[in-house]
Amino acid sequence: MSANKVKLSTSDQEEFDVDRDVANRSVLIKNMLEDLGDSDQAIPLPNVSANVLKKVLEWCEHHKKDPEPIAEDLDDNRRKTTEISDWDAKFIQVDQEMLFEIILAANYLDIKPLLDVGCKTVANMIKGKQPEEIRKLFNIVNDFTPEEEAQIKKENEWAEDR
Amino acid sequence: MLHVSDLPPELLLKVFSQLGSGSSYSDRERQRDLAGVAKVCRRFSELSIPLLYGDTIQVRSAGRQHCLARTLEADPALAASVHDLVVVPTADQAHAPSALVLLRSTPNLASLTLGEALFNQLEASHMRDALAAKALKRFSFGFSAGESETTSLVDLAPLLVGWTVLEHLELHGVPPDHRVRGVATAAQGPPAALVAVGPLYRLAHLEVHGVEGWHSRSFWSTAALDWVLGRSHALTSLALVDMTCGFALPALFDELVSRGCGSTLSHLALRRIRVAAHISPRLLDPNDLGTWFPSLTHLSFQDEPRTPICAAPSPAFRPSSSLRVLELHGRWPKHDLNLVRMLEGNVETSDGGQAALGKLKVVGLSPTNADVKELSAACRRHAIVFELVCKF
Repeated sequence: MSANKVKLSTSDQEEFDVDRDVANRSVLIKNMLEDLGDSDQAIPLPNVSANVLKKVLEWCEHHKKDPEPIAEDLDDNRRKTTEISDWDAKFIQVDQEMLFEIILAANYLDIKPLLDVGCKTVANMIKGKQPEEIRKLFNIVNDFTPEEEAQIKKENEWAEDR
Repeated sequence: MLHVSDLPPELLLKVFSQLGSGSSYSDRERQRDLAGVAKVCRRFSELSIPLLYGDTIQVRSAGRQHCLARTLEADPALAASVHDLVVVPTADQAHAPSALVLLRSTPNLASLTLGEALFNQLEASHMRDALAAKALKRFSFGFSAGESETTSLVDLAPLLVGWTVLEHLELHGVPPDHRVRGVATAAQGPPAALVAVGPLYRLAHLEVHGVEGWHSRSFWSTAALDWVLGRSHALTSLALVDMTCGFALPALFDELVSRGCGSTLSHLALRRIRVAAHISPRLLDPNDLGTWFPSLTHLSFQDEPRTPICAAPSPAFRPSSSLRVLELHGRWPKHDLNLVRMLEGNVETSDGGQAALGKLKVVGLSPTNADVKELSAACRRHAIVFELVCKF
């Protein structure tokens, strides 16, 4: 096997041959490769299925040449205001299940920029929505008692739109 | 089917923390969305409430001040998590009784942004005491920019003297007040109210903003600035904006160096500054900045074309080898500092070191502006990041 290729094995026993610089976007894989040295053995990824890994690798391929993030400009706003790039926005246009799968995989594989894109996307789905709309969107059951609900509404009234 | 509840708490927390990122998203919208998330279900509530109260809390209207005061008074644990409060109401929306409760119920408040309208209502001594009792690290005060002209630096002096752990001070809309003018006249020295005791804090960050367009009516002397600086000897950031200085900038920089701030200052902003008519020298050579401040990494600058404070550097601006970010405001960024000349050849530094300049930020011009196009093309040639911030 070429030194520039890496073999990855998914939870459903599929194997992927991946360029090393693509696989290195995952800090988890990068560290494992450094520990293993040159080895023909496939790296097992028991938490990631083939269809999710395929998608994640698509992101890694596109971002394989991204520079290391430079030290943040301290004079900029305290909250980082980076927006999702056009390519990433299109990439992340997937159904909810895949979106959560990508977030879990990016977290497990330690790909911070991809994790950020996933979390921002979910946050964007929440922005500006009423609680009832959020429940409907994510199929969440309201588990508050009416008293609790009234209490929490009163407590945070200062933050509401009026 | 994978569900949002399959995300572990730390990832849900990361999602909720992203509410509020994005350039067009205000504190108020973030508060609204986090409060909305808190009402969805118990799990969401547990995660979003600490975010809502642990970040900047902004209450502008009297109604919101009242509601927040009611909540914090009833729940000391929640109140203990509050550390950053922004209360900048208009005169008719300032609610002093609520503000008093807010100040008294938040033991860990470290950062306060306060408007003059509310400050003026806190006249009763027990209210001022509540304010003085806070161990603030950051204080930002907004004068009403001439609406009332009742408050001046002299009124803030007792508070500033008492806040010994203050690190970050911002004064906005500093008024053309006769008492400040009194401070400003160097020959007379600062008035008794300011002289008596100086602040004991050691500021790292100081911003003084005047009122745009009100230049001619107020200016600050070295004595006033000296008083505000207190015992600061390790300033890392200084911003002077919309001010008329009753001192020569080289003299101010010499003073900062003699305090020990020369090697610590990394951020300097000088925007729309004028120098009072009787002061000399009136001009600053920007190529000398690295001599005063060898650690300067960020420079933000805007000169007034008709009353410049900078001698156009000849043949061009030579950034010091520490400067990483150059930010230019105003309509003439290309002409300020002879930037295009600087970017024409190799970027030469004022101290002969390797240029570190990695970013040029232009604020306030449209993307179709010819200067913007020229500067961005020049930056590309030098692999300098070019960022344009449009203001409308």
